[in-house]
Amino acid sequence: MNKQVRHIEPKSPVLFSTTDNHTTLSDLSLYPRVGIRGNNAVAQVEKTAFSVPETANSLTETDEHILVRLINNEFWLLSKSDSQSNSTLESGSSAYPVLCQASHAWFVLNTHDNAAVLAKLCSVDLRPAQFAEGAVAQTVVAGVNAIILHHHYGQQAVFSILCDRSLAQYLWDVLNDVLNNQF
Amino acid sequence: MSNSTRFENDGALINRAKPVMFEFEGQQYQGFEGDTIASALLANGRWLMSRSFKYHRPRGPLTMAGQDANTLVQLTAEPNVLADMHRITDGEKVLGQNYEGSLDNDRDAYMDKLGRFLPVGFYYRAFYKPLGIWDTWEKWIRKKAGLGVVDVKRDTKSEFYDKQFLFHDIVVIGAGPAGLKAALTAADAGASVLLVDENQHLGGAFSYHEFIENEPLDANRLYQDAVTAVENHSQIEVLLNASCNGWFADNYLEIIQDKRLYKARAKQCIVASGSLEQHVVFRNNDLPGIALCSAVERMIKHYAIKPGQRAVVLAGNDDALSTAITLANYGIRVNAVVDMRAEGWNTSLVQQLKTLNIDYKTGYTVYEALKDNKTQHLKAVDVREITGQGHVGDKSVEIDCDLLCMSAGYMPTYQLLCQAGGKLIYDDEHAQFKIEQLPKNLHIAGAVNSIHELTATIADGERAAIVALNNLGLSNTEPKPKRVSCAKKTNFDWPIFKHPKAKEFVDFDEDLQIKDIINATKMGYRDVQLVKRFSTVGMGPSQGRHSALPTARLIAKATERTVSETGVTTARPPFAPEKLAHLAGRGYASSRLTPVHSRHIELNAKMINVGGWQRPSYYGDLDKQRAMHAEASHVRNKVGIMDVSTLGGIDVRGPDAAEFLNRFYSNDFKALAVGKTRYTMLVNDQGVIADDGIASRLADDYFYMSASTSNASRVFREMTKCNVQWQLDVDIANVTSSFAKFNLAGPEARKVLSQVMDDISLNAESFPYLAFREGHIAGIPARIMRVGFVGELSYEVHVPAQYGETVWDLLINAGHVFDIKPFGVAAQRLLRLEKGHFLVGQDTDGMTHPGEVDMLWALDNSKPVFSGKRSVEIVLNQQQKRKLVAFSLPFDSLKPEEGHLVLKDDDISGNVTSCEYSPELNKIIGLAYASVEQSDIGSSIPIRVDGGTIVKASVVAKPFYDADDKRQEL
Repeated sequence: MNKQVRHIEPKSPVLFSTTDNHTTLSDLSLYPRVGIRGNNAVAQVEKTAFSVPETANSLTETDEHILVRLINNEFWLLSKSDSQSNSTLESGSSAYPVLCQASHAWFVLNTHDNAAVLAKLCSVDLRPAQFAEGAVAQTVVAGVNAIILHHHYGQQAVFSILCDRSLAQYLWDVLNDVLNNQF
Repeated sequence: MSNSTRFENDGALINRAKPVMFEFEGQQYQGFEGDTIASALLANGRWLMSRSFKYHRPRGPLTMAGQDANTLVQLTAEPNVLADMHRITDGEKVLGQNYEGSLDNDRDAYMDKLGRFLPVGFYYRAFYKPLGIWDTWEKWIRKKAGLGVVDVKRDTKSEFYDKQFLFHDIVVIGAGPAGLKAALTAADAGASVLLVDENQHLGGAFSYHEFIENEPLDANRLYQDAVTAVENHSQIEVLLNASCNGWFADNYLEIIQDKRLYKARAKQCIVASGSLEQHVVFRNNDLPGIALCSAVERMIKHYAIKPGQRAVVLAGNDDALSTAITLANYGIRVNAVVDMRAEGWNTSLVQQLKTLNIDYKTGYTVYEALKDNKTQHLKAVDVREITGQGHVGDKSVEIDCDLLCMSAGYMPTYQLLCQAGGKLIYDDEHAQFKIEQLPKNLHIAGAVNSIHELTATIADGERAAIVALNNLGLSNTEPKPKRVSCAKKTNFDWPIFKHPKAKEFVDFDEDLQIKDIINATKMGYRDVQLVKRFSTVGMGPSQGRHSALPTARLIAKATERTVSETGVTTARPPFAPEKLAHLAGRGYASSRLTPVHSRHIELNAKMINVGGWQRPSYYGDLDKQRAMHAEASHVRNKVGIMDVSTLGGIDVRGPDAAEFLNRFYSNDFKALAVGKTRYTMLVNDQGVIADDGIASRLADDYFYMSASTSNASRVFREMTKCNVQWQLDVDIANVTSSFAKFNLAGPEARKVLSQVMDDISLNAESFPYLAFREGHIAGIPARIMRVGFVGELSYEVHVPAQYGETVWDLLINAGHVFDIKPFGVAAQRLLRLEKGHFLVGQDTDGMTHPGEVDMLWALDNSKPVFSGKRSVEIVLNQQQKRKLVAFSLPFDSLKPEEGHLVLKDDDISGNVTSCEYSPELNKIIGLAYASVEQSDIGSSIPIRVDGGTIVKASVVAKPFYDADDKRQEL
């Protein structure tokens, strides 16, 4: 494990580094994201250009966006940059907006073995064979609820970790502690 | 003291190129890298390493495998360390334990002569008469009890403990011949394998035992090949020095290695944990110089120690004969092999003994070990002919020796398997326990499966792996053979020889002798569980590893039952001692922060934990009381701002939203107009108040509900559960963290808010009390409510959490000219108390129903149903016993505290739930439960305060402040 961890203040949106092999934990909490849920959510998402994930706990992605299907009728659209363009999911009858931008913090973990890092904190088997790219786990990390996404950022496979905003500082500290104390 | 030394060669675990100096009992010793404390001391001729728990008898290594309490020593920062497992480091200081004076000359050794006065269970029958004598005994017993010393002053933050999850197709516990074969078979078929062993090397018995009886099979070659294959296999992860301490449902395994606790998930688990060699029970079988055969083999093979000059081997099986041959081959004189068996020995091995000129006695046993009083070491053994079960003849043969190796047989290392529900069945023919009835996906192989012959053991490992692979779908071949059998008998039927002078130890940890077990059964404790608790057998550090089998045999005989009927005591995790630090790990403790947490810190807030959130109790450098009074007064007279982001927020949307809430809460929601708020109360299935809050109607099909800080998650869960049952067209979303929420309160609140609102008219006519509006603050969408919790003109401002700091700053800046100040939880609680509002959880308990707190008005009984309605009707129809009353006391009275008792004659009629001095009212005010008879306005309730003083409080009407609510409805 490369112990060089890039510390970024949680409140600062940053461009994610994909050009080096360093262990990197980034805070993308201020990047745009929206969500909808309800009986008509699928129909609303199908109206967009995004490919609809086939099952709950899965995602599809483009170079710019990640579309996450958390349950059958709830979708979150995460933007991989701070650009607001095309980062919308229209709400409507029985398709209610989800305030995921406000409610959740968003961290991105990029190490040479993300599963090994999270094995210190999470009881779900996140090794690639079990948790392939495109998989989503709604689980517990270091004792608090979290959503883990396995996706690409640039050329690199990374884990996104979304947690309740009120627990952002706690989980940020915990992840840094783990990254700095591998042995 | 013996003259043990090192052999010039061998010693697989030591590095002779790296000497290590350490200190034991103040004396310097030299060992090598890889040595344990015990091996290094043995190499220096020192056997005496500890004193026994009760009788302070001198003790030396018994197993050399961490399976006994004889080698517990004290390190500088840690007591009760196993000297035969702990590897020495340069400069390390080690002490013995449990002695007065010195380890070699323990003044408490006189206890050994008091045995007759300390019979089994004596502590249950002594020390309690005459009344009060325990206080005297306790000091002495506490001083004498226990082993090592914990250094409580040590900096406990200096050590780093950790946890990690592991995931594998197959976990193999034990890396002996069976475990190695199982791991390789499974990995070769493509399974991901974790191989765990408590030793620092692979191989188990392969690494120390010479399988002489298996010639021409080259056991050493098999060992080396297997180890090399495992170490180079990409599918196998190996954990050494790792103890699998617990088996839990679905192969959830707790493994401890060094300072890390692994939590392993295994689809299949193979336990190849081997077996525990058993001692022979005879007089003085605990003297330094007496060890199990496997222990002596470990000394030789692992550490190149020459454990003695003149050996006797006490055999109950052929393995001990191999030990004797090994000793002789290493140049140690074997004065005799005393074989307890009258028949059944391996003739080839016996022939080799004869070739080596070793005296071989069959049908004999060691009846007593004799001590050199000067060195406290073994000097000879008294050997007698066995004449019947546990009986010997009168003719004694004394054989000189300084080393006695013994093997009565083996006990499966059953603990993990019995944790999993496996049953121990006694096999009379082989005089051993077998394990059966294992759960699905848990397999057993090798010696723990009562397979002892080497080739059979290896075959059994392969068999178990194939079964596991079939379960995983990685193989579809039947194992051949389906069941591996082994005819080798390893256990002597009755290796227990009672002596008139006793001191034949069954349990070394607790100094328990044959008579102790027998006497326990004579006193009526016939069940093994009761014998354990009465005698403490098996309760010491080794947890019955050596005492379980002889205890079962003794109880069975004494109670005229079979050994199977007697059984052994329950095996529970952990298998080996573990530290609290392992369970604690890194000790993460989550704490929720509001969106403006940093602002509170900047304002020097004193933070407290409320329902998992960090909240300001009060601000500034004043003490809590003065700060609370100042902040409350500021709200009453000017304007204050409070962060209430911790309040629960739940969006309820959809065509059936009103119907859903009508069923969920006790109030009516269908009549609530859009743009209005309403107090809500939630009653649970027992008719008890579970929570309260405010409902705001944003649209016909959209409600925004608040819940108390501590109950928000519970209310949300209950809502989602109910909607699963009711199947209404409604969407429920927990938006607690989505909003930053501020309470702007005080006569100047409207003026402050009007400075920042973009698009909402705030005058009393257009935005009256209990109204709800949506608008914008500096372009930021905001939900605004007029509420009255603190009893002043008051607004709640809810904005998306990411804009929390921005809006907080805007309000603070706008409020400067009005002298706005933040206020904390302490002031808020005083302000609401002045208004007579109760807090759910503070002024209610697990029994409080709406009638007790005068909240019947919040029940809409015209509704056909709401949660808890039927229960409320039932509890209200019963005789009422208590009510929550408001009380007051003069300002200079003793102030009751929360929890102080309200009395009625000689009985307790209730308790104080809230009480504060109110500077606004200049008196002490509070809420308390009292009997119904005491609840009339004007009644006097006696409250017992600290020190037992009774103060008489007056029951008064609520609220204490602004009875006509003019201030909050401004």
